[in-house]
Amino acid sequence: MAYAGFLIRRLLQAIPVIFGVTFIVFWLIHLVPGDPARTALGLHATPAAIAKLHQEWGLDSSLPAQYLNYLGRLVTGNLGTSLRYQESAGTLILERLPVTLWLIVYSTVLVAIFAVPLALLAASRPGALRDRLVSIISVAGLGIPGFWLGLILIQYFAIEARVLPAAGFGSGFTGHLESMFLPSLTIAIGIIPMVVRSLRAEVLRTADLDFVVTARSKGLSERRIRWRHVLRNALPPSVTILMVNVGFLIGSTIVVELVFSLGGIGSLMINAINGRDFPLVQAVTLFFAFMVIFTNILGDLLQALLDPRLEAR
Amino acid sequence: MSDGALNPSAELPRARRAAVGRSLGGAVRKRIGANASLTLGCVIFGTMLLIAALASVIAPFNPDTQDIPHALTAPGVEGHLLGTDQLGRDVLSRLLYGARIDIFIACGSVLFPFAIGLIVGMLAGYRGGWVDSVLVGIIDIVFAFPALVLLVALVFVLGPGIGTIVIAITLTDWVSYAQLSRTSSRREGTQEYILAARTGGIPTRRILFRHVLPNIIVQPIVLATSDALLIIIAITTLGFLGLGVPPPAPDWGTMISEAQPYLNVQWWLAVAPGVAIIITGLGLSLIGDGLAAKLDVR
Repeated sequence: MAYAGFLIRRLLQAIPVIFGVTFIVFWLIHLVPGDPARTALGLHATPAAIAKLHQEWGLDSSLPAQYLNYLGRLVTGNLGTSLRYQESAGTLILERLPVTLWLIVYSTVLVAIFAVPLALLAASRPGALRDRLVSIISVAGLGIPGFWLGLILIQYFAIEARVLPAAGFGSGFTGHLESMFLPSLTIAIGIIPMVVRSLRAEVLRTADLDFVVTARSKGLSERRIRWRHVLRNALPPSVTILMVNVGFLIGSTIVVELVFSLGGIGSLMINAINGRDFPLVQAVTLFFAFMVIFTNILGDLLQALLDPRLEAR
Repeated sequence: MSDGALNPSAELPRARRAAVGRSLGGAVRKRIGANASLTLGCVIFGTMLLIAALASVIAPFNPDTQDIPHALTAPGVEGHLLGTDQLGRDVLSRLLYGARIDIFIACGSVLFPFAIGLIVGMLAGYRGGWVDSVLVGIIDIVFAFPALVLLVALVFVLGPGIGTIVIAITLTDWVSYAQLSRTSSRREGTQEYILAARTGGIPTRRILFRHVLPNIIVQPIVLATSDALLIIIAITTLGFLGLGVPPPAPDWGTMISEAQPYLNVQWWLAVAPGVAIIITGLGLSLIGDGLAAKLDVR
């Protein structure tokens, strides 16, 4: 029951954010210098075509009316119509959603696989060589640009060593697993340093708490203390750490999808930009923001499951 | 630069330590009480800044001069230390000028969000009430966007150019500083010395800038160093996506993007600018790490 209440509170909290996000996305078109319809259609557009687009986008009415109109469209699930594809932006996005979702989930899994052991290793003896090594790796890893790393990984693992595919989504579960490994790894490497740092600090903080001293005085093995007691209590904060980075993770999909020629939402955004397809850029931006909001709610719920004390807040 | 920069001076014999005190690294360390990461980071980033400042002096060629017959030459041929690109432009010169452009934009793009976020956050946190609630709302809304997505969308609608990149980064990034300084300024506002200053009738403006600001500025400064790293990556990413500084101005991201078709044979075309980004990033990352350790900020 308490959990349901927590869920409802959390959803209500998201409402003003959702309104704000839709307003910013709506506002984007008004940031275009000059006439957005003319910019979108190019120099050789006929006045009739521009007027038609004006009417379609409702650019001739007042700003509040335009925004209400935009909200009204969104409520019915209409994200706008792409100029270039002449198709509903929502359909275009949904068609490409599986690729992007795969990328996001796969890279999150890779982050967990690498970051948790590294953080535990570093925290097992603070200040020792292993801690220093992990810290050096994370400091150096922070500065690697994802698009460059992707190109280098393709060159070595796909073109020269030929062990993994260079591009594409693959087919079937194992096919996806294989094809999406390098792109997901590229994203994961960008995030692992931040997660390792925060998780290491969290493990060290937990390891200092009284219950760990109690566990040790009861004669539990260090191994058991570390995995069952310390890690368990460091988990809820690490979910927060992942949530903080989820925006970064979702943003990385744009670049990585471009580098690895994946037909996801990120590359749809780049296509839309190259085609000066304003409605599609708006739709994708809005969709990405909704993804972050949704993941954050999911993260809070997961956290409340892991640590029931949080429900009370 | 001296060996003292890497070794904690406590391990050195006394005589050597005195010598280190007179060396460059020692002098820097003495002045700011730096640790190894901070010193190394400053040396690396300082070198990059120097390269950026002196690009016109040290670059062997004009970075924009095309020489199609000598396109894609290997490193070392005819004085082109890093070879030439697909238009026959000298890669090393473009790399050096690229440092100027990318680091210059990055510095501007850190300064504006830092100043705006710091002041807005401080005012809202200190004042509280509806101003604070509105700020928190705005922060939540901007944070709901993946930073890169919002950045790309903003640069797209504003049109390419150095100015728009700085504006777009400022619009997306100021909230991190605002959030940080809001929290600290709220906490600081309840301290007794602030209450004492208020009851003493000191004007709010003076309290904020003389008492609150000096006490909350450390964390944003540490954030700015790690933020500068993310901003350099963001700028080069924009360049890679074709939304960066308009050509022919050299930018590391654009250089990598242009080098893609030649990765198989002329791999250095893509590797060199990538390494430049990583080295700059490493310097900033070390400075951030060292500052955080020195100032005890997590």
